[in-house]
Amino acid sequence: MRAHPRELLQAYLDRELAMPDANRVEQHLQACDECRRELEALKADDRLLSAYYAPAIAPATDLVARTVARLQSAPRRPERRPIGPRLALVGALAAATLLAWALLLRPFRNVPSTQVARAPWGSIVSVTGGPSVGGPGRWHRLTRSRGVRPGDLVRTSDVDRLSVRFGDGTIVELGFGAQAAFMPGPARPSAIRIDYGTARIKARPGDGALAVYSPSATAAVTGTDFVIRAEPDRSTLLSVLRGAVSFRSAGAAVAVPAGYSSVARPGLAPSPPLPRVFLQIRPPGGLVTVRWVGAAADRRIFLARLFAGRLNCGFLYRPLFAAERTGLGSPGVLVTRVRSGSPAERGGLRQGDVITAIGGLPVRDAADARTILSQAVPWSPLPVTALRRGAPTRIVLPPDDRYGPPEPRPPALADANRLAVDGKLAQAEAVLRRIVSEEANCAAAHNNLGALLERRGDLPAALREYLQAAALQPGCALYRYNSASLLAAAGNLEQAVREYQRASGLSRWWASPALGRARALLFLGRPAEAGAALTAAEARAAADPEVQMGRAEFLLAEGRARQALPHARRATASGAPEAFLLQGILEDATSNPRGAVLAIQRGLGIAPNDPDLLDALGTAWRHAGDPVRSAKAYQAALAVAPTRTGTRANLASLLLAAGDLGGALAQARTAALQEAMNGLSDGPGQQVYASIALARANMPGVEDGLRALRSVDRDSVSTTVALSLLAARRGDLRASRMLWTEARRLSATEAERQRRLLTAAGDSRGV
Amino acid sequence: MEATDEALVERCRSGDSASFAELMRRHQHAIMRLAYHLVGNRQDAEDLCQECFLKLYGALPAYRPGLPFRPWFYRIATNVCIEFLRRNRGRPRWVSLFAGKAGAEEGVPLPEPPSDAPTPEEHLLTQEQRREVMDALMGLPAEARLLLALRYLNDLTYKELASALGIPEQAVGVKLLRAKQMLRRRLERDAGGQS
Repeated sequence: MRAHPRELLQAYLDRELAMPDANRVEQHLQACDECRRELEALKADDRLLSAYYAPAIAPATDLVARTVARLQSAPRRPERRPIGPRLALVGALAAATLLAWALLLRPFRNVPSTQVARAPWGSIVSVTGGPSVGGPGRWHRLTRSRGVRPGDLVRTSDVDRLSVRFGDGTIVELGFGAQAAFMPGPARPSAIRIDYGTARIKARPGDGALAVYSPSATAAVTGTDFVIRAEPDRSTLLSVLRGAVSFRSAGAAVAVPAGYSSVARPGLAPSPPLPRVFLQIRPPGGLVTVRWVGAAADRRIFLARLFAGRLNCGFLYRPLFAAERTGLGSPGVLVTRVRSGSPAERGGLRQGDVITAIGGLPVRDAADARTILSQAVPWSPLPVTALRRGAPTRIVLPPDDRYGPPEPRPPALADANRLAVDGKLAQAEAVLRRIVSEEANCAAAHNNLGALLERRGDLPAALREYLQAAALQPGCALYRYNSASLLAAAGNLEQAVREYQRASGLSRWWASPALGRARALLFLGRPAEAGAALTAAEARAAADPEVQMGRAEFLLAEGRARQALPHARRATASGAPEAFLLQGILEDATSNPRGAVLAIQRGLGIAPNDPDLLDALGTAWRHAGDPVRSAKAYQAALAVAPTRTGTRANLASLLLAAGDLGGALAQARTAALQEAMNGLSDGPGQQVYASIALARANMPGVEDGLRALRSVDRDSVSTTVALSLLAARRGDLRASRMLWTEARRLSATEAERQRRLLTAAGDSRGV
Repeated sequence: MEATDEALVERCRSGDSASFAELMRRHQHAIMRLAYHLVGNRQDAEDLCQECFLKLYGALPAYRPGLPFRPWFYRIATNVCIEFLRRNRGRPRWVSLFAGKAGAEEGVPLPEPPSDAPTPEEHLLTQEQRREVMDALMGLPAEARLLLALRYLNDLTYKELASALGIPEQAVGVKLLRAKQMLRRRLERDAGGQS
């Protein structure tokens, strides 16, 4: 009886002991200080562990779909009673949902007019699987004849899709695994609540905006087309395809125009609209934006946009180094890459050839090659003389079918091209404007003027010129492709898809239009078609780095970082900084930070001041265990883009880990203030600042800094919480509790506001 | 009435694939959290989580009707996790490249008042403390880590723990006590080493 019942204490604490044992422990504790202390320690451990395990982490939304899909490929069916053939269908459909934007696999179709005799409030345009309607515990199948009624709660399982059309023409599509509530309204819902999953909404202009709610944000829309996705971690992704959407969360609003996206996280303001975003993807651990590659701000793309003779007929070259020239006998340029399927390849040009003459004119250096090629006519064969392993070889490049039938070109066009290729853009533009004013029918001049305008950033004017060129020369794939690129950048994706398709049909070898089409389809949420377009591009030029990049992005969007990596590596052959960035991201995501560093450094060799690359470099160095280089990279990124608060927050957390408390605090404070000034409540800077303040509370000035910050941004939950906890440590429980209450009020305000709005909308339009 | 887990298993066994998806939807969050706390990064956690459900699917024919689903499933998941931890022993953990973009590392809570912590004092687990606990936990044997996570993260009862781990119910309390004492010793040692 005197023996300490230590072994039983945990079970006693958890009330899992049988009566006799429990009584014995109880009595013993009365008398034994030592065991009472142990019990207290165990209780403290319980609190610690509960707090430690508190943060939630949500699985990817498509994990269920992915797993069900894997059951198809893996030979692990239950032996006795196999899940029947229906699962094959599930797998095929689930595989199609893998993309981040998976939603719409079918184009919109109008409801046949014969059906309108007594149409329901929301008539079902198309349905796959068996979506249900109702509420917890009383779900029943949503049938076509019933349609959607005011106030309905509709749910799709992982094999269902649903498209509903309302009286005013507004269309709502629910993707796999989604739930939405339709608030009553006369011709269409007054509001739509997306509980989880993806919805695409094409809202007709009507009386008053249609409000769309997600767990963390609100979008007020009218006359727009957009995709909204509520994630299990309560963040919300918005991507606008047409019109503009006002996107609100945590009391702050941003206007997101067509072609832009924004992300809202619970309690945080929406991110600023991200321009020219191609995809929002989820690699392990976070959200990344892959930049839309394709604006002529990049010189290579600018040159590719031009009607400039043979400049883009499918090979790259560089001048010879002195050491390479010796023994050759004649000067020339070295062919470094030949695009597969291109006229250059079909003509027999090979990597490693040294071109000494083109069209009978001698080529001494790269400038010669550029001038001659840009003046050459694409419609007739072009003879090229090259040295192959020292032996002279004659090659004839076949006509380039991207240009359609021959078109007349005024002599001044050659001057304009030379100026443009040499980088004298203003002069080139003056010449082109003169040509266009004198000969309005010169398609090439319109196109090249468009390229100059695009390079200057005037996208609407550029698009007009491209479309004009395409209208004048309907058989030219280049003009159509250029038009499609700008249509896509402007968010007009449906039209872009059509233009890409036409461009693709006009040239037999060119892979770029199919690739552009794949990207646009992916963004439209039509992954199956996107995959087909990508396959079409690969059929034309599988080895092409541009095509490899497309495949890598596609796989990454599916969450398959490891499979994407080899494609990203091959994509870097193009020398595009984006390709190196993507490779770096993937190397790091697959636990190879050293490889990431190397890839990113190669990208920086091409674009030394790219802040995205510098930021990624900092993170890769950090993971590779070199905080000094990591800090340098972050600082370099900040020197280029001082308001990148995410980078500054990274730097602060790095400095903190390295023990430089003062530096960490200074950086975090700067980032926090920048965010507060820009109306970004609770951005990364503020969060890191609050965390540091909490971790190192005894630093002088920390609390004052937080107070100053709070005077600028009174709505910041993290700052308020940090101040409350600091007060608690000082022992000032009264102040602490007040701040705590305030913080809870702040975080509850947004939820409350949304609920009120929703109720109000329901009441005022109620039937 | 929502169908019970057991009813869903029955339906899976008779070929209803939607029931399997529903079963997974119900339990994936709990398993994901367990996996995340065991492996420390999202990618591996998702792989592990998926593996648990694939194993579950493979084990469906062995399910005996009437058996409570949760302990049975946790038994399967536990074995998958232990196997995983043994296979990956000593492998360095890595932190996601993009974690920094959100301002803090993944899974690390930002100061945010949770509704179940009515006073600030109960919320005083700073990032630094969190890291210390994590380091100490990572130093424990795999079985101890798993036991603590199942108890304090997944809230399994003693009965469920016994069934999941294949140990007698009377041994659960003792094993929990030992794991916690080991954790405490590690925390004290680390703290002592720093000052």
